[in-house]
Amino acid sequence: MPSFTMTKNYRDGTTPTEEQLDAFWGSLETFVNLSKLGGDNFQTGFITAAKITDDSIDSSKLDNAAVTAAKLDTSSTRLDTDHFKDESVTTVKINTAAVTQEKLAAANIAVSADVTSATVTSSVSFSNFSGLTATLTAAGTRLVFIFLVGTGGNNQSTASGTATSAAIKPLYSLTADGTDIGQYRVESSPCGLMWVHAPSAGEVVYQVQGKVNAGTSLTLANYRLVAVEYR
Amino acid sequence: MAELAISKPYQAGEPYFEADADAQKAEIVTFINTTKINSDNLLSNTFDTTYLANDAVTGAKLVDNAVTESKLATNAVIADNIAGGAITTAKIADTAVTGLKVAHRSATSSSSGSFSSTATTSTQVTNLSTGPTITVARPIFGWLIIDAEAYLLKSNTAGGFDRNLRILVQNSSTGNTVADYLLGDDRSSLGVSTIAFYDPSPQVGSNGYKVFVTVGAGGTGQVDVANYKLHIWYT
Repeated sequence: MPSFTMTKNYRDGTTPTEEQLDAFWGSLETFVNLSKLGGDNFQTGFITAAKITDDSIDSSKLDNAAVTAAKLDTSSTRLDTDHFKDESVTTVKINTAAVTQEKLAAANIAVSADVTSATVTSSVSFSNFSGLTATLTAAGTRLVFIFLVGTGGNNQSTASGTATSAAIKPLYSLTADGTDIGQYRVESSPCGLMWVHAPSAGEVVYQVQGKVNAGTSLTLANYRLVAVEYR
Repeated sequence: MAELAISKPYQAGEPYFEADADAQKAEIVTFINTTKINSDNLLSNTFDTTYLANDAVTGAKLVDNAVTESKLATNAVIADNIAGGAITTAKIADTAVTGLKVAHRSATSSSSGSFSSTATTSTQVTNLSTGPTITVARPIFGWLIIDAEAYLLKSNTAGGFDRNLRILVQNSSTGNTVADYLLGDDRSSLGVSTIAFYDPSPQVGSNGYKVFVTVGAGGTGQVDVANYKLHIWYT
């Protein structure tokens, strides 16, 4: 410990000798020049904010690469949301394939009811297959894929008519908010019809319709309609 | 070096005069006020955390932009430095997540090649099985996709199918049927270009899907499947 003491050889009532003065002043020189000031000569916490001039720590005061990973906090109070500026994560900041399925928000999917049986008989114009409707709230910037698929489970998905399939000649149509966006002629059970639509932003209603030959009918059993917005 | 040098104006056998003391006093005052203490007068590593008051280095003490890139060590910010969930949607620039940034979220089987069955029980189509382990309970879409010149459910039997031809897609782990299409309607021939299916709630931990065909009860004929692959899309 660099404790400062000054040598006292002189006494009251006497004239200090040269040696006594040498020792006295020499002890001060020795402390300042050789022993030097150390931590023990300063009070704990004496460097307060008030003692540091504002803007006194500029870049030159920090050593290059001084802030290593070990210097950054890894406790529960580490860098959190508030430490990152909005929109600071740009494309180049994201590693290839870093966005795993877990990181993605759930897809925007709308599903109809599972329809156990729906029949159309019209031969003049398309009419709705009851229940095969799905309402999606679209972003307006993405394509939407719409599928007519079986419900699975132990439910066999079929298309059957009042006459032979050859005579029925079924047409399937999908409407978006009442507008036809595509028709299929499938003379057996449709095993997954697909349509693609580019809706405007907002709610859009998809509906499966059908049309058959005069005097016949067509029943879809165990189907559902699924609309999914591409992302 | 800021060295304190105190002169010696006195001599042995002579009184110590006021002027002697003044001269020495002046040297000390000069050292403190003019020469000043510098690092040479301090022991190495004198100032540790003990001497720095808590919260002493406020934002105002740092010059703007003082912590430049070069001050951060390479790989200074590691994953452990970032709290879980810190990168919220607002932190990500619009359109930043391009296709390459998204991990592969689909799977495709090998080709079925040429497959035939006359069985009246469910028979798995060769190679039409795929899908890595499901880790997120999100809906899944799937399709039979064309590999080459392809056909599905084509009869090689004179007279064609009678009825009750089925295509089933089952979860490989649970056996749950996610699609069960019943085809065949007293047709002399029957063909299907593809099939699609949708699993609204796949079970986490299960490992994909398999395709089966069946010539159902009372049916006759042969099911041919040629050159298809099973494709799975994880939403």
